[in-house]
Amino acid sequence: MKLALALAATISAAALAAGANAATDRLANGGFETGDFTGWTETGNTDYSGVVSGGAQEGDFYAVEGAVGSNDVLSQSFRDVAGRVYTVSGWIASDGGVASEFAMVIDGATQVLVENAPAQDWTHYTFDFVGSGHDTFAVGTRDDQGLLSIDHFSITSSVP
Amino acid sequence: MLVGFAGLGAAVRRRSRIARMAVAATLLVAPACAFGAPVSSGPPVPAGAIRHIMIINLENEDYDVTFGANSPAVYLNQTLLPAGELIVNYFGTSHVSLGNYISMVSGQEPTQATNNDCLNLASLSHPPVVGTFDNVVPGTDATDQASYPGQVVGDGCVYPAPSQGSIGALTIGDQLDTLFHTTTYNPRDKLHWREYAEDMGADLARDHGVPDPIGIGSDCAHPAINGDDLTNTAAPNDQYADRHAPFIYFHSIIDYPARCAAHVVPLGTALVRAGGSDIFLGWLRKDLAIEAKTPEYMFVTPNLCNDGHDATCHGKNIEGGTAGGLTAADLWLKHYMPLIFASPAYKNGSLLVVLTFDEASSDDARACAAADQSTCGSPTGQNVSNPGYSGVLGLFHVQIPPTALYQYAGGGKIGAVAFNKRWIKPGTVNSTGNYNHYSALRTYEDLLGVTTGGADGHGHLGYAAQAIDFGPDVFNNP
Repeated sequence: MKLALALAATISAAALAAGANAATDRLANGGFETGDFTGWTETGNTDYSGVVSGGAQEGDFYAVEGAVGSNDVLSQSFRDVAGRVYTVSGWIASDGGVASEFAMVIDGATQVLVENAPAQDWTHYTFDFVGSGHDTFAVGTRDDQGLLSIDHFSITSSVP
Repeated sequence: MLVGFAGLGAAVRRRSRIARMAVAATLLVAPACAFGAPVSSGPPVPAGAIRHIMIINLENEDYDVTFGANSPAVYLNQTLLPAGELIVNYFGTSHVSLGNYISMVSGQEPTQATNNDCLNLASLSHPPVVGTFDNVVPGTDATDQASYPGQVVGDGCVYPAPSQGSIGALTIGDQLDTLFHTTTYNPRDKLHWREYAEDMGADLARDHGVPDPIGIGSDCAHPAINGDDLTNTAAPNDQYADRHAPFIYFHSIIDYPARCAAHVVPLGTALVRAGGSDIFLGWLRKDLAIEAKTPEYMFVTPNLCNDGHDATCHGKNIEGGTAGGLTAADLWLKHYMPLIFASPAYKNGSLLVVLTFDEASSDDARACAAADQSTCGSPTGQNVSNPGYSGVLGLFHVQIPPTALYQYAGGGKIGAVAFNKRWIKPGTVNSTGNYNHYSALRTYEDLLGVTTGGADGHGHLGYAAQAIDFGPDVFNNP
């Protein structure tokens, strides 16, 4: 399943983050520290998706994702300041299983795509985008043979 | 001729200890036998407290060797025993391997064929050695159900499913699918039981089965009925053996290919890295990672090297060497047990792990610790009156044909180690009870809430209906 298609159904009004303070993380529960997917909308192939403890990149919890054959998608929609540059940050660890895919997506456009990641400890991925006032961030994952671990997502702006 | 006797190599490689065993038996102060009695009240654990059970089955070792002072199983003895409970008096139910596996999951007694590991005996003198995969015939229900509860009568390898007018044979997997009203069998679904067989389908031509959707091995691998089992001897690239994967010996499972494929799957692979942090791929890794996906019942079968069957591995052990036996099994445990202990289900106390063996060496055919084996209460069934006697072992003069009941009452003393974070005190040794594969099956059925059907109407299959649950001696942390 292509992420752009999967994202079509992911926008949830309930997930909208209130406020537009530039210093505020646009994401709610970006590190899964509630112990679950509170704040996120999960769609697609939700098999082998959960929040666990022990070995997180930050805090106590992280998510494991092992969808087989198609993608699981976690997404959040949020308000931001139109025209302002935001930095998206996130971490993944991989056990090297194939086929695997990790994607970070803004408004349906894939910004980071890692296919068949080798076995690797927590690895940082980041990109910038220009806010439109109301955007949607999504993380797409698939790992047929193993599990991807994901943690510590944030969307912030350096503008005070 | 022993050249073609690879499938039983571990059983015959040891020197005979019959005389020593007999002396030892007379010296034992036998604890009360805990199976063979008519009724037990269930394990002393609240319903639903243990929601997952994992059985890890290793091969062909005497208790005294595995847990003795000179055991090569260093990790097992020095690291695992302090984390769990050693059940001293745990016994196999038959000789050789396959009958034990059958009893573990179904409560069925062995047949003459399964007590020969379903070997094609003619192939022993005309290698390669192959196995058979024929039906238990006639496969009728025992007429005396009080004496032989739920038993299928006959000889052969693959047990009949229930049919109109016939009780047939079921497995604990069938019981759990009934309990949970399972109707779809997508391998990605939450499944209530799974067999994880290492290397299954590594060589599709050898093992058969359908390619697994995650690309590691094949699912529900077994020969066609009446076909040759080519897995008797390990290959360098594939050390899977049908006879260590019990669920494929039941028509109740294999007659439903999609269901079988979802449940009988390859274990996966392990990449051992220096300094720890091994990498695991495959269904066991995935199923353990999230408790919501962890099956209620898991049966783990390492390959012929890693379960200790082969003294020298045809392929590699988990660390890349060729040493087999307890050394290989111990290495496998050293790498896989941390994965299991790190699972959410284990950490929250809902997972019971039982590590055991199929049988002792062939010269220990006891059914319990009692000097008088007739007091064990072990079955003397209609198919084999001495379940610890194997015709093929007799053929090679490893065993002497029995002349009386209870001469070969069981599969010998193997021991077991049980692990649970909540209900078992770590580092304990239990020499109180006598248990075997039938009592273990009964315990698992009870813990998982199977309360209907079976041979007794209370959810206990076959001879599990006559067994006694693991008691407070096992669950020693109330």
